[in-house]
Amino acid sequence: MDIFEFYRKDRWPHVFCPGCGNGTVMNCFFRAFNEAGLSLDNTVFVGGIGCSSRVPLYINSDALHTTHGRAIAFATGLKLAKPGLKVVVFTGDGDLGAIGGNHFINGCRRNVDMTVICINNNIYGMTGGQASITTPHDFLSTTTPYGNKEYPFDLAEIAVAAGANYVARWTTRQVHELTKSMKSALQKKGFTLVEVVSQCPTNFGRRNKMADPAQMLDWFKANTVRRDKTKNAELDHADLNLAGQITVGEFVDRNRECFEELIGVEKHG
Amino acid sequence: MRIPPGEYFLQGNDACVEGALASGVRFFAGYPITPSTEIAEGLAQRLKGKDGVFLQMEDEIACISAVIGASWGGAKAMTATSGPGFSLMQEAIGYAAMSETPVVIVNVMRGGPSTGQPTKASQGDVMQTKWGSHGDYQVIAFAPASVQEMFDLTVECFNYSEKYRVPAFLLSDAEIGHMRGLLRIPEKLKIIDRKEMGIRRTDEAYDVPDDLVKPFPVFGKGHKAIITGMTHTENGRIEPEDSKVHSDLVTRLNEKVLRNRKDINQWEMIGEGSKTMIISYGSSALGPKEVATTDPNVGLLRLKSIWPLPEEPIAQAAKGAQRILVCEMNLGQLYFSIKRVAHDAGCKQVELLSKLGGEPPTPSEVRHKIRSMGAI
Amino acid sequence: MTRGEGLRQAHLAIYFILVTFKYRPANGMRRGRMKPVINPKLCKACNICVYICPKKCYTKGTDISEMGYFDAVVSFPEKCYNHNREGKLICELCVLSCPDQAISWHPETEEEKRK
Repeated sequence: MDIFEFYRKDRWPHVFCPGCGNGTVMNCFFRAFNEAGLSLDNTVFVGGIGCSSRVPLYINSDALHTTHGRAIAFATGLKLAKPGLKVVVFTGDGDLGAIGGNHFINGCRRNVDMTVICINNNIYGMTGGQASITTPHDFLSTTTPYGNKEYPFDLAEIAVAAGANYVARWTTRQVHELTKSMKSALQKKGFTLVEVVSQCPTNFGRRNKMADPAQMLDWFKANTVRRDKTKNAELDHADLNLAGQITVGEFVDRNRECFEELIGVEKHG
Repeated sequence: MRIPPGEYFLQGNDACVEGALASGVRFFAGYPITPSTEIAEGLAQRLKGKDGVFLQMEDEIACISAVIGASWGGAKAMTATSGPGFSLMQEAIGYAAMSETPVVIVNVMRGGPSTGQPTKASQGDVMQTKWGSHGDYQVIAFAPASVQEMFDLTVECFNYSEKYRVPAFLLSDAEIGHMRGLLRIPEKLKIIDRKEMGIRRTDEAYDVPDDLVKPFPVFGKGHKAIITGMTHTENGRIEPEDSKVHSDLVTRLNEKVLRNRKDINQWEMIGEGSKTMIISYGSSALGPKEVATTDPNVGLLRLKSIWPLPEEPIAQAAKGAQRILVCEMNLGQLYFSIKRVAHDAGCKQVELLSKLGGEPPTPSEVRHKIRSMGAI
Repeated sequence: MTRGEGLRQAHLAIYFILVTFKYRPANGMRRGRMKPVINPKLCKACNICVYICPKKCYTKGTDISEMGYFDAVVSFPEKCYNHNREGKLICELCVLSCPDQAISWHPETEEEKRK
């Protein structure tokens, strides 16, 4: 499939800022979708509210742009009403973990067959740069002008604990591994989460001395550690700050029964 | 599986379950809340395997979201709740109105505000049904007053929500929900399905060219639809900065229902033309009904549909009346709108009998109030 | 010359002949030469390609494009890993990283190959 058969050509150039990680994630997703051999006519893209959730509106397929934080709940209803559909959810860090936290953990627990791509830019970008639940400690934002006093969530670890079938985290610096992970997530049955730590140079980088997208990518590279190398390390990898690290890799790959199999609607729709 | 036609002795909530199944509901997402839990439990028993999907979600917001998602997947979808859960659902109800999603929400009203009286009735959510979410939108709401109407009006809720692509509400209350009575299920039921995009229908309901209802694009059929709560044009293009697009869209969403009010209005009239009229709805109409049937000078206009406000029958009743009594189990919610319509129609004495505390007004209370208003 | 040296020279000669003929097919266009092209309608001059390319094929631009950005420039397309590959491309970091989908692969034209 050509890239502009996958994306709606009449909506290009997209509204994302220069250097936004969303575009990189879209490229990797397109590759992974193609390699997985899925069909656009049978796939529905669901998004919440935010820059990341605008991605479904650019894809040449059915798109459901829902309320803030509730994308997983909408996707659950949609998937169970028509189990034959492939449902992909694009969401952000605040949309998934803050306002959508309850739906996130229950979605992992319930294990409905859907793929969630969480574009984690550590900030609330669309509204102008407010602190998010994944903003690192001591970083600046418009609502933490004296430094973030709170500590961030580790969304991938929460998904593992809540029972998702496949969880992986990568940054936009590791595009090949990200593509492979997205392909595994799309092909896996059950609730799959790929968290992409992505750069927001306009609202996050600029306030934290990383206004150039290249500087943010450098920051990712300097702080990224492959998870299989830190399994025995004593560092607290939930703490994303300059002294800490971003752990990347595939966190879990298991085969819990998906919800449709459990209630017996798998073959319907 | 639907139960066969016949006579049954059921609880109001169970009759609602039967009505939903008769309409073809295939998706229910619920959360336990008194006094609506029986609806969730009934559908949990009946929606299994091929019949449909029952989900108990983590909170009411997830319930209404899942129901809207399921509607876009092509299923007739419903949820049931009471006051506190209804307050949680408002954002998504606004989304359903803006994205024109057909959903049915049953609100078995209980004493409010807040946790209030979980096991006793009230009619305190009437205004919230119409104005609960932000912005200007219209909804369709029905108020049953018997077990039979719990069945009939649930079917009507599904029909109207599918026909007009608007959220439809069944405003029951703890009295009607838990009351046991006779239910007659007829042989044939009129069922209306959504006007699906790309499918030609011969049903005359869809022959109206300017009914302002756009064809419904079910997902997974290649329509490439964009459904959003932001201001959008016809083909789903998001245009939040364009004031003409927004005003056209919001006007159409409202006109779609208001223009078709004559089709939606449903009421029961006892003693038409009486000088003393009582206007009421739901379980607070039970007392006035006894007064109206026993007293030839008193009439009753019992509203079955309360949103959009059925102004035509109210005006008709007010024309010939000298005094109107509005009975509600709240401190006056429909009262002020009814008063406005009645004043415009010529009846100047419109008074309110408001009954709080959880029980419907009794016939003697109604008679007492009418006497104080100047009737015999 | 010994038999070993003679064989080696023969191998080298055959190798060079094959290489030469491989890159000179009938229609005059060399197979397998690909170069990245930046679409000026889409590039927003974020310069991620300049940063990420491991062979430093890109440089920051100085000319303003029709969209108003100082687009990056493909300065050294011949350094790219994919320059001589046909079929499966390797690397592709720039294409995957570009947020605006502005980079795509095109076969090299006659004039560029002769450089």
